[in-house]
Amino acid sequence: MKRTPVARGGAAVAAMNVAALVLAALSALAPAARAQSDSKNPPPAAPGTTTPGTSSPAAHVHVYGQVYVGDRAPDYTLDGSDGKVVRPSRFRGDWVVMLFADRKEQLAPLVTIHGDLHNLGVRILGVCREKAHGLQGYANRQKLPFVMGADWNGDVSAMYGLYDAERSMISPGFVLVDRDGIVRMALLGKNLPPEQIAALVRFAVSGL
Amino acid sequence: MTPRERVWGALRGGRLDRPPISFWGHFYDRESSARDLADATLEFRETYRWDWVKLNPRRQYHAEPWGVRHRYTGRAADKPTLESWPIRRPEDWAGITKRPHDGGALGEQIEAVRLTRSGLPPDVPLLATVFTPLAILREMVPNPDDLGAALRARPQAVRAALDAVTATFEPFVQELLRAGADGIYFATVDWATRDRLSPAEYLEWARPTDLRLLAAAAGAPFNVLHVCKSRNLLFELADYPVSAFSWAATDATNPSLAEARTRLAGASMGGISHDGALLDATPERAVEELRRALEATGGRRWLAAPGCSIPPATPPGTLAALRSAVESVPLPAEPRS
Repeated sequence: MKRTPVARGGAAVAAMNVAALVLAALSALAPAARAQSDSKNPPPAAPGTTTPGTSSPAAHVHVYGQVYVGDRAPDYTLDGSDGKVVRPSRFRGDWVVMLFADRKEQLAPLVTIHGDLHNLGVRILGVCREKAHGLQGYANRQKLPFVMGADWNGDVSAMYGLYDAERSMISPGFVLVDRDGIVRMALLGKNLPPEQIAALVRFAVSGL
Repeated sequence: MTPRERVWGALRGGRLDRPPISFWGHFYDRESSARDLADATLEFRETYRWDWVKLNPRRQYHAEPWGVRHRYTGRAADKPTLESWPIRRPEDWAGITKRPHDGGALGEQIEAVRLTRSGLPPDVPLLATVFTPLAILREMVPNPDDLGAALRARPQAVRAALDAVTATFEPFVQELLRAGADGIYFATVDWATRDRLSPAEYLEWARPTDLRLLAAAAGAPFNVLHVCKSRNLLFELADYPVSAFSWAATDATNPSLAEARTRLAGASMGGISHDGALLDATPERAVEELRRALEATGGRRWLAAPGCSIPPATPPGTLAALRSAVESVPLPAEPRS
């Protein structure tokens, strides 16, 4: 029997945490960037949901966050490689493993573990710094059986603590979310081979 | 609970939301400057969200003021190799004199503590590592047997050297605390084990200087005694003035966590074998050790940790699984009697 994961924040507190981080990020911005942000651009999107295409790259302010084991996974919407909108909260009831990478090609090897994870009732959701039309073409050509979200400006990855603004790239990472939308395992900044990801997911799903 | 509340609660034996957890190990390619060590430590902590940080310095830092030098390959998994050492002839023992506590490698470690502290969230406790002066002397000869022989053949010279080393580290310890450490992780390294010294020998050669350094850290809220190796002298050192004891509790030749519950006044830190289950390709055995440790301690007065510093080859997935497991493994209702 499992203890309910400790709610060290929950959605509301997570939102407050992210809001605080936004303030910190804003205060740390270079004066020019801050002025740009203040004068012409709307404040960053609320952390609970990020919609693609809401900010211009030239004046982009990322909402930096972090995910914690036991917290509710921040929700978002991204254009998907299947031509539909991806929203993790729609997968409630299933386990979801989110895999972050800078380029779509880095996610393609996940095809080798898709069948295993599918049999466990786990969905794979890739997130990479690509535009939607590029992802769609690539997924069709490669016949990828899982969906990838187009985080072309890094917003969603930043919410998960995986956007490297200095190098303008998404850091690798995986986040395993349970049926209730709670983060059960997270390994941020590390690139694991697919078979290790599968082993960890199998282990967590079958009774961590 | 914040990490600090959780750690402090574990030291006091209070009821927690979950056990605090932390791991540490060498970054052989990133431990040769204060900045590199602090950055590597902060990244490692952030990856797994450990509840406290044990700053793990390069093993030989404490002997560098006396001329010990090691060579690094630059690869993360390669241990450095001894390149030069100060004691080559019996008369060299007289050259082990008191050194500045805040210059060279010691100043670098103080800076590493300062940088790590400034990069950590304020609610995450930080431990600085300090070694028993006997272990520091050991670094000044090529192998431990050389020091063992010197203890018997030249006791006066070794005693004078021990005093000089201790006098160097007393103000160093105080400086570590001023730099932001919440306490020291005081390690006996190769020496508090029956494989190296008898209890009486440790009492004679190490205890007086150990207590001097722990006295220098008195008042810090989070001092830890790490009794390393197999066949250790944990219970012989049970009266050391620390708030927690760390050892390889999964080693069958050492006291178990359950035995320690009734014998130690402080909290226990450990329970995961640093050189066994942790190195498996998959996390099952390591998580099972965590479950057993939780059962043995009831989740009270216990900090989940490795028995010693972990190897660079430790699979990141296993660390992630352990970190997740402390959130989801149920806490026992009451400790097993």
